[in-house]
Amino acid sequence: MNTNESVLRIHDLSKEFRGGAFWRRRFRAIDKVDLEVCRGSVFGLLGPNGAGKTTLIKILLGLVRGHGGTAEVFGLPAGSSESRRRVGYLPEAHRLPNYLTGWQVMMLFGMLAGRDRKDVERRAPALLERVGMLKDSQRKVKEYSKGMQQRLGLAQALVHEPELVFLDEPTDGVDPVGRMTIREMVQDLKDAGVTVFLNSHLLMEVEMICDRVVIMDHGRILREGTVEELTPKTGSVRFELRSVPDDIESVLEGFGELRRPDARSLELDTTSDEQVDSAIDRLRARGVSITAITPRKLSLEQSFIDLVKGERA
Amino acid sequence: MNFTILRALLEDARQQVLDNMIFRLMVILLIVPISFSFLIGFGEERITVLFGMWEVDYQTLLSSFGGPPMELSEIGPFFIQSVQELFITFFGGTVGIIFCIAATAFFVPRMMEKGSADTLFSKPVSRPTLLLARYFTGILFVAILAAALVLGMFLGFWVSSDYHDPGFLWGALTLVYLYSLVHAFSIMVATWTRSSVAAILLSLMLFVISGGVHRTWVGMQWAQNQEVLKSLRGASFAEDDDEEDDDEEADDAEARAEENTADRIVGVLMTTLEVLHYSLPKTTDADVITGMLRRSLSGSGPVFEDADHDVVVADDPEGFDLVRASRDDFAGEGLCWQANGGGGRVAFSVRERPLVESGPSIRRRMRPLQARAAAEEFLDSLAGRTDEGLPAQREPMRISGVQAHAVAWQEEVDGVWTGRESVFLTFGESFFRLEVDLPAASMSSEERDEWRLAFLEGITLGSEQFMDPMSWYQRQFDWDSPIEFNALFSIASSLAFAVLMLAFAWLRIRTIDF
Repeated sequence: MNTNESVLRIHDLSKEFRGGAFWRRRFRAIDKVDLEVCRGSVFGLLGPNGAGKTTLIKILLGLVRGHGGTAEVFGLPAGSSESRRRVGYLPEAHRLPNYLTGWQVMMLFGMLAGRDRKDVERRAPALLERVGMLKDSQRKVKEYSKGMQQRLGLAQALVHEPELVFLDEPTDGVDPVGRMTIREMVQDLKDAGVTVFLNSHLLMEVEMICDRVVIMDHGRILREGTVEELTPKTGSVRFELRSVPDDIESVLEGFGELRRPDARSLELDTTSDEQVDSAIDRLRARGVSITAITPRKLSLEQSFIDLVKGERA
Repeated sequence: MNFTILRALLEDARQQVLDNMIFRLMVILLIVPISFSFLIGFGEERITVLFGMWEVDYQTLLSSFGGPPMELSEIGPFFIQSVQELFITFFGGTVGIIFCIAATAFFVPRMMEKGSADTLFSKPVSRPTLLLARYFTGILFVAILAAALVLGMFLGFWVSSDYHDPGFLWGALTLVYLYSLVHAFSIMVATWTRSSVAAILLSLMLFVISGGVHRTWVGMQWAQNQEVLKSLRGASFAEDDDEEDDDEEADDAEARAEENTADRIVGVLMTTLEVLHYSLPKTTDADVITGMLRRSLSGSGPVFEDADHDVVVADDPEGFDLVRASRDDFAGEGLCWQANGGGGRVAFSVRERPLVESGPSIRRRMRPLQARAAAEEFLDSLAGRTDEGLPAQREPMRISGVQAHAVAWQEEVDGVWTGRESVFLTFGESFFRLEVDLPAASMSSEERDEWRLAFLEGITLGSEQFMDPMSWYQRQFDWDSPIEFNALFSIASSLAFAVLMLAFAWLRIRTIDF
């Protein structure tokens, strides 16, 4: 498997919606977007509400048409029947047919994706088990809670063994245990070489599982990179100590600003690794026991907020 | 689209129908007519309830409602057909269809709702396929109900009344046909508006309006035909009167026609009605088509019916069999019956009314041949052929209210003295001749008169004058009628409407952004 191979390539993609009286009001949802996603990666798409994330996914699935630029999935035109056959999709706020049981939903969407019935029957139980829905699979969808529907939605998105999965807010309405299961499933997909395109507001999740992240706003890409690249070091180091001596300020005198976020930790602004080594030496010489040293970084959430706010300002 | 996808869509359609609350309710409601057909038997003389637990004879039942006595041999099937008509045409074809429209109108809007559409349309199935799947889901909905109703009642009456008319089974097909026309419109509205309410209301409106337009159009055609018939019949009645009045009457008719055509508002309204009639699906034709198909299977109805010449012959002459096969065309030699035991023949033929020179010498000109003139000419030709003791005689008479002239005589045919009769009559552009040959010894004079009367009473000319508009329309409606009354045209144009509606829906769904 060539992990450098692009499964998704977007160039100069634009989409404008029209509305209002006589369709005179125009709204540009996607504005000249370029993007490339490599096979086997977990790709995160972030952005505030109305940034164009869902529109972008829908263009790639052929649900939204009439766009400018090019969008290809597996080298095929986005939205083509052949490309959709190889793609799984869990939409945001999806509605599964409520007249079907969970099992029938799996059969319907598996077969609509072109899979043989026996093939779907073979694959469905394991997937339903994985999302914790096997025992409820003979109940009608209308009897499911929102979290159950979300888990079933994820199972149906994977039932035909797609090579690329679009997950739009996959943990929406799911309890913490369910979220962990979904995160594990995404990791399993990645391990199996499946490309995952994740759209979520829960930045911690994105930070935990995504290889690359794109931040969008007003239909444009503001920043793209790995999680590391999007969460730069702040220039401070956090020391976790067994106990903080009263004369700590004199011990670390000359090291710049010192903060005490809580009773057993310190934050020290440093300019180099040598300064950190020197600070460790001083603390050890004073007899302070160090339990952890962590370079302080911006969280993805902080980075995201800073970026969007800065862009809007 | 491969077989797997087709199978998935069919299974989805089945589940959607079976889960529908209105469908379940209607299945329960079907128990009423089906139980009725099983539990109430219509015998030759009486009605039996619950397999004989309670019985009532027809005359008692009719008299208790103040109805007239009826001929017993026909009353059982009459009751059954009335009940079938009630449940299929009224409850099925009107109330049932309205229920089904309401119950299935949400199929497409629900499919296109945000969330549902994303999941479904992201699959590698084309949008028109998914739309058509919803269309056929609706048809499956109605097909199951219609088949259950019709088959249930068919079996019920077979068990309880020993009545099994296979023509009744067509009722299910025409119910589905009727629904498929309105449902196509509903799909189109739903695709453009994504609203169940709009789809229901506009579909019901179409159902009512198309029915109203069609019935009004039928009424208009009927009224126009009545004018023609009255003038034709008037011409027949006046045939024995002074022919000099003809020119004045023609002038009056022309003046009236000019007055009518001058009424432009009526003309615009009638044109609008015509356009609407030909554009909208002909939903009310479904009943007519059902009746037509039913008659074609059960063989009921008159022995001969020719719409072109407006002639109906209700029954064969007693003791005679129709030799010619065609039941609806005078073409060629006309109708011919032969006596069961041989030795008798009845022929009924028509030809275009010829023009002959007639009138007083000063105003002599070519005029249509009159029945009396033809009879007199024929009478003259018989000189020397008849029994001297029983000379040929001309006798005026009326057949179906139309003036006719009969010439009766006796002559020896193949060594047998045979009573012969030729009846001449004209109606419109047609010149009819009825010939009867009966061996003189086969029946007495009184029996012969009675036999002849019974047969002639079954002949109807210009019966349309006495028909209500819909009965008249049913009479005109046939597979080979002119285009305005043609069953194939009705079906084809209605289906074209449905296809057009689906095409509009397709146009919308292929460009929509979900």
